[in-house]
Amino acid sequence: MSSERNQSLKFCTVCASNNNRSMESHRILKEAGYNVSSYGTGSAVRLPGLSEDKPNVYAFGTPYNDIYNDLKSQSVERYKSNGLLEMLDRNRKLKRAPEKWQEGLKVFDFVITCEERCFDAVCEDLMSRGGQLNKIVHVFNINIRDDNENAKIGGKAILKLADTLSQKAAESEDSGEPFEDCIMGIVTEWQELYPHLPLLYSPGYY
Amino acid sequence: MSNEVAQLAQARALAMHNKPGTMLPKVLETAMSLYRSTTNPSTELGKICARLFMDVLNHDEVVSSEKPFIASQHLSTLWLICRSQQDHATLRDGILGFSRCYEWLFDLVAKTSNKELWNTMDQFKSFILSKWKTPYPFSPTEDPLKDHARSLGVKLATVKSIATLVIAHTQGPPGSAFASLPDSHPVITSKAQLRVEAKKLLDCLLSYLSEEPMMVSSLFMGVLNCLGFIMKQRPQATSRILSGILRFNVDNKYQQDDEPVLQYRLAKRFVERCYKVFVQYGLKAQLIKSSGSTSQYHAKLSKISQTLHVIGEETKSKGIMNFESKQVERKMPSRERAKYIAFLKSSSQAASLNTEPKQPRLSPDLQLLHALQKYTMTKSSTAGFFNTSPVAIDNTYASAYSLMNSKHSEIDISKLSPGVMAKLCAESLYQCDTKKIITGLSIVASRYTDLMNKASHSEFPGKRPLENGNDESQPAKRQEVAKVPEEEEISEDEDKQEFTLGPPEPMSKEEKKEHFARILAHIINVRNAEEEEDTKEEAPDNLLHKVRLMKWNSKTSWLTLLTRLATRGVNHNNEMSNTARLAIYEYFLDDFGNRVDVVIEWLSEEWYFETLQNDSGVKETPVYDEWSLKVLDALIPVLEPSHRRLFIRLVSELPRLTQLHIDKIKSVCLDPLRSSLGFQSLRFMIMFRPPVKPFIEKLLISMREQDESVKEQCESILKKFY
Repeated sequence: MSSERNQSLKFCTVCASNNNRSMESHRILKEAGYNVSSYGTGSAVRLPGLSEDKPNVYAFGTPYNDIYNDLKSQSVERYKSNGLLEMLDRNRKLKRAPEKWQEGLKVFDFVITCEERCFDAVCEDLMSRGGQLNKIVHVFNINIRDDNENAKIGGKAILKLADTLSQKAAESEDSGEPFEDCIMGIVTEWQELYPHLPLLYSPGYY
Repeated sequence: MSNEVAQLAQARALAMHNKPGTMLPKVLETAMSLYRSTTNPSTELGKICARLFMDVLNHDEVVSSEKPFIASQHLSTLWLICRSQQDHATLRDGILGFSRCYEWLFDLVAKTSNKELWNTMDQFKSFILSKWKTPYPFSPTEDPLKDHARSLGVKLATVKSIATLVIAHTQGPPGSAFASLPDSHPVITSKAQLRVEAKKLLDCLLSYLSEEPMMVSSLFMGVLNCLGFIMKQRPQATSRILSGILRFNVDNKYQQDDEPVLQYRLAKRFVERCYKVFVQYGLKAQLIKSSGSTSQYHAKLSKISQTLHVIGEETKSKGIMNFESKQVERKMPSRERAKYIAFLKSSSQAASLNTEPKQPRLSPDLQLLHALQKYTMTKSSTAGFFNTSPVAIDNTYASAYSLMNSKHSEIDISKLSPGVMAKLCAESLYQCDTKKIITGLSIVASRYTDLMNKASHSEFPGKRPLENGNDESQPAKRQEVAKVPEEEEISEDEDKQEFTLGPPEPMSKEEKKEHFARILAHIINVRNAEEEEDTKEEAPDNLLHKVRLMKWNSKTSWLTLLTRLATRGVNHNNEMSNTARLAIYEYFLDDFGNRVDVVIEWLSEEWYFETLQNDSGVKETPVYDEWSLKVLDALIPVLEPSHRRLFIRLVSELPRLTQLHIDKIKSVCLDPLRSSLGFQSLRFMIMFRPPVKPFIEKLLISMREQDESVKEQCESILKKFY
């Protein structure tokens, strides 16, 4: 029952490259039983390269498996030590390829971004789509630093938020209390639990 | 009953995964039929119907061309559901469903003249609009302000519907339903009226941003998003939207009484972010441009956007939880709350009265209000003012209040009807922050007080001689008889006397000094200005005397200003001119090694001006002598051999040297450590400044007799040059 209820709400996690933060959150939410997708808002997928000033750049849509093999061919030792190979291995088990937010057509109830610039990009994109579908969407930002450890910490915080939102949505179905009236209370409680992860929120329309 | 709903839910789930394009519409039809045929249909049934309606309209696999007809078929049932159900989620989804299909249905009515459909649409629309700003479907509580933040889902849906109506009823690009609609359409009879309504609805959204007193952040952000949609679809509305946005002041919104401070703080932060996103969206989409009708808003909004970004970054870096509750907290004072509630009641009564006349006509009140609005917009520029000095033009209260504005506006608000006038005043007072009102009224009060004090002061001396005259002219023994005519005469004079504002008091000496010191400080500050503005325009021949100012250099021209101020501008007043001279003198001494140019230029001006003033033949320059000797007195004790170039340049370029000047050098010559510097300067002057040669001979003879150690040097110079 709870698993079924969770599936009815559609979640989406967003970061810049759809590789680290959004995928870690994607994995955590998926394992918790949520219906979740993930995207990136950047112009391309950027991953650390052999030298700091030469990142690896791929187009969105390039399969994770291809990226994985490309990095292996460059240097197994280097990319194993900095965790990229492990990250890509995780990603290819979740879905085929990184996806670009601006090109996505799916509709979600909740969008959770991991960086303020991504939050702005999502909100602006929703404005530019014109609200034709007339569906309310709730966009949140949880500022997560883009490294392995912080992505894991952020992922747990996002799960907590998703759990609270999901639970409140279910309660609203039963009690008739408007879900939208409770969101500010939910984010306030959440912010008190995670004071070091600044949160932003905005309702939007598809 | 619940069994049927459960079956419908199953059918819906199945349809979603098996041929949704054909199955979903069938499930929708079944559900809607069930609803119509059921007496007292359940909340669950209503909810699933509203949701299905939206699912069908938004599903990719339902053929697009079929969607308008599906919507048309089921709109009346959706309307029935919305007006009979009290469930929040059902209403929210129903209103969004109506908004989703409105333009399709409008186009359908335009093409098919389906009057029944148009009537249903009109009723549905009126119903939705009537619920705006109410907590419907919930009952109002005792606290109207708290109700502003209730039923937000329905309100967000209503805002979206309003945006849809604005777009649908505003002139769009060729091919849009409204643009194609003929004026003589048999069913949609008044196209112009729809256009007027669209403007009113847009103003409804804009006024919500500026007039809502509470921080209802979700709704503010919803409105901003919808304004973005309108701007994109109907760019001609952009100017109106942007001027409304500029009246939206997030800082003025109040915290709910039961709202935690952190929640209020987060809410404000969210709205500020949304505001920034809205502006960035407008800029990127080229809807807010630096040219054309939006240019006046471009700079302001860009600035606001940047400021909000900086504020957001500061808050984040300091820590979201790191704040002082007392400072952030902002609950509505009881007095304001009572005022607002009273205003709500009066405005609701006025609104009910306004709804009676169906035809909107431009009454004289509206004309006057429009004129006032135009004037207010023109006030944003200063082009119209020839005199920017804010001085009351006469003694009326209006002038004291508005200073120079009273003649410019030329709008007589007293012509407004009492009702409109009262509403206008109430509206203005409620929208102002209390602190601002108090500050403003204090300013006006102090202006008026000053005005009255000046008036009474000017009258007083005028009365005294009159009284004295009366006293003197009357014989002593006739005092008792004369009292009566005295009083009469005085009162008559007072009645007849016209009021005149006294001339301003001349500045006292202290005020003059203080004022002049301030001027000097400003001039000296000019030299610190970083920008050098070398305007090298060629001057006409007859303007040669102004070339210096035309080639302005903020690093050096300040000296010219100060020098001429001292020598010519205020030379009639020794004290003031010496203040200016002292400023230059002290500036030189601060860094004399690098500022010998300054003092030479200044002293040359002094000498030149005094020479001009002198009668022919007289060559005395006492002011120049005084200050040049002061410079030497200050300089000579600190001179070192390393200052040889500086000192020689000074003595070679000063315009006039007297015996007194030359004698000052004696102490340098007699100092064993510096004698070489002294004697070098003397030799230089002997060779290059013949007029001072006799003074130097006198000095050398005097030193030779006074000090044995310099005797040889003196004699060698005397032998060589004399």
